[in-house]
Amino acid sequence: MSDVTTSGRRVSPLRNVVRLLGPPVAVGVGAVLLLQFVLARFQISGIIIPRPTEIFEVMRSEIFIEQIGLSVWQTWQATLIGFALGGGAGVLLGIGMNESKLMRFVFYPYVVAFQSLPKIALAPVFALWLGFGLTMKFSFAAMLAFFPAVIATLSALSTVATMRLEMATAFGARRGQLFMRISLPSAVPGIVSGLEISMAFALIGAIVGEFISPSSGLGQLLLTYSESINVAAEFAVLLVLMLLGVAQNKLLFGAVRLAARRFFEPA
Amino acid sequence: MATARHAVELAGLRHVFPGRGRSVQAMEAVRNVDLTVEPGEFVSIVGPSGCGKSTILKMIAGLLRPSEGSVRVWGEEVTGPRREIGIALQDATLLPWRDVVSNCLLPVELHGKVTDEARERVAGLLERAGLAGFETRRPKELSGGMRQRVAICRALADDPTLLLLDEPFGALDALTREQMNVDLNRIWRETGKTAILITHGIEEAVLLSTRVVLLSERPGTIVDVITPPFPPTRTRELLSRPEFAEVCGQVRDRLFAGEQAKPDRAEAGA
Amino acid sequence: MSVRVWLRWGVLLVTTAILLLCWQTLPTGGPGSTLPKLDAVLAALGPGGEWDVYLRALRTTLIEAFAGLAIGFVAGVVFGVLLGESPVLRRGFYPYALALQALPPIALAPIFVIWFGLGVESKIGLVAAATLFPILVSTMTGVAQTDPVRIEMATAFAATKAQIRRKIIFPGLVVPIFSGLEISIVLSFLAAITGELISANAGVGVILEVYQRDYRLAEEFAVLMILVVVGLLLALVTRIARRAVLERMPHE
Repeated sequence: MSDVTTSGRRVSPLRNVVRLLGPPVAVGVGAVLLLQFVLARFQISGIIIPRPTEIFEVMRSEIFIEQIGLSVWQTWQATLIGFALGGGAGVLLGIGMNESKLMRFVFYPYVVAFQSLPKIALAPVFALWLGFGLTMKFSFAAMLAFFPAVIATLSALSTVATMRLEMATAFGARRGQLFMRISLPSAVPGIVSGLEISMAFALIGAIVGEFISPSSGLGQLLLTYSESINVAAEFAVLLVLMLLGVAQNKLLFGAVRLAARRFFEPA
Repeated sequence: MATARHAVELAGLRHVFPGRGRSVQAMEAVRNVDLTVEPGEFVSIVGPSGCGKSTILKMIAGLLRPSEGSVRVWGEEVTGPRREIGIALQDATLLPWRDVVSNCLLPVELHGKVTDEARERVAGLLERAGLAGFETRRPKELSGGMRQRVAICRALADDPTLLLLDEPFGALDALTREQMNVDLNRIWRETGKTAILITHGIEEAVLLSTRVVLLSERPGTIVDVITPPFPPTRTRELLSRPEFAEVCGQVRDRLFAGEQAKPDRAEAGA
Repeated sequence: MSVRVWLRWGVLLVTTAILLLCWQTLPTGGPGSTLPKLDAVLAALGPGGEWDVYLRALRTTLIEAFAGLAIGFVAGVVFGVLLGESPVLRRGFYPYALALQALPPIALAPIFVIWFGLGVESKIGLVAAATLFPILVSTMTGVAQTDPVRIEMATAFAATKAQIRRKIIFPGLVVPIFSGLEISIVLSFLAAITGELISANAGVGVILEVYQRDYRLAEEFAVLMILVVVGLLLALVTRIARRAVLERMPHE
């Protein structure tokens, strides 16, 4: 997590590490110790808030490791397929709507209508149509991933600097050249940010899909532990889910975004 | 090449930006502009902001169609962007994902294949613009002045016969601007291009041009044409000569005369 | 109007007509059909529809959404200002704030059910947790990114710390807080419905599942249509509120 703050002056590397990592480590360790102490001191039941040691015990158990490994894979599979389909289709529709005024005009009301529907509410309908299992999960994830990609692509493409387009037009760029050489590369950072949101929504879609038609994955695991009031295990799953979210949203997309910035961001 | 042909001919040029409903009123930007530019000339168009200077340039570049009148480049009616034209705008509009050389090669790519000849030409232009050694830099690693130099090299990259410059140094500080002017003069002499410069800097126009065209306030019409009586080679030293100041004063007087006419006109209109 | 405009409207209307026609004719509407016919949905939206059920559910959901949003908003602004003003606190908590933000908030739904039961309280908690972070993060970055030159300027005029806060920092927060709030408004509605879908005794999520279980798909789709309208209204209200706020409050 050393990328969180930027260092100002150059100081000795060790001091820099302490300066950067000191506060978060202190907060983390402090919070864990405080929680452990307060929960023990006031004898608060583990059913309400599990002690850090309890969560740690659960995470070490073989059965949990086995279950969580499988569940993470199942959820992530649905997330990735959904993201690829929904995000990809969204970018394509965004491009189409930017390039063709007719297409934009015709699709816009539908995009707005769907945009304002809390799309989670469609989960039961998806379960009705597609039943249980992977297809339902990735389709629902794809639907959630689709709209942020459309919106971001459209807005990134329609805000490309006019002067840049004018310059290329004056040099005789044809429509296709204008798109491939100017518009699309200019829009890459915006599209990448949109896809980042798409991916976060794909994960939400996969988990809600698992909540609604429980067949596998982290969503089902959360429900199972919740029904058996195993709060420590519930927290352990949330912790893993958080790491998964960080891995895909912050690390993976952080890298992609950094690359996109580096190559495409305006000077 | 037929010697009789003019580089640019503007005849009875008028441009009106159409209104849209009640919210946007139609606006006449340019009215009745006649101008002929001969091969090898450096013509500046000077006028107050919003007088339609850029509109004229865009019509020559084929980006805008005139509402009335005609634009001819090398004797042919302009109906769209033409290969003979190289352009540089106030914003350098370099593509941040390309390095200096491939930014310069953009027009060549847009017109066809990038040849070794074009690469050599770009290398020569960059050398001449003092950018040797910066070929693989990205735009964000360059200063504002350097970016504008790259933009001018890009304008010249596909060997156009007509160079259009829309306030290319408008955003630069005064000292950099002076240096850029001297360099531009040298590049113009060495390449022998015909050039049209849009600017609101009187000194810049007088320093660079063989002719200075003065435009009135909107709708822009030509008020006067002044020919600075200096040899083609212009140096910084010229800036401090009394003759130079005299010509600048002349330009300023003519522009100011146009300004003063305004209240009368407004009263007459009311 | 030009030919182009006519063409556009024509294509839009024809497309919509074809879609509606397909919706009416393609579903069988009989037993085993998983899509209700258009006229059945319209009938469920008409005066004969179960409006008392729809509206009661909608009221529950909106109460959950707004109560949760209010808690999330206040907590988000307070913590956002605290973290924004202290670089040490920010450095200490920021990684955790980022990590918690990466956790899909709806995954907390089962925990909140354990904590607060099936009633509105668990949904309010979930909504508060979901809406907290967008507001916290945008407030915090708003505070942290106050132009240092402005603070220098105010310091040069001998402004006190409280004055700097009130006159320099807070006016700059209106826009970022509102952007965070806009995201959170959408999230609040979404989180409330998710909570209800998972386990609840009232609300839109519940009636959606009940209608589906009873195979009354026309009513279920009618509720979805109502949600579209409510969503549009929420977006509209947000937009009006934005304009009103920006007009009255000092901002950039």
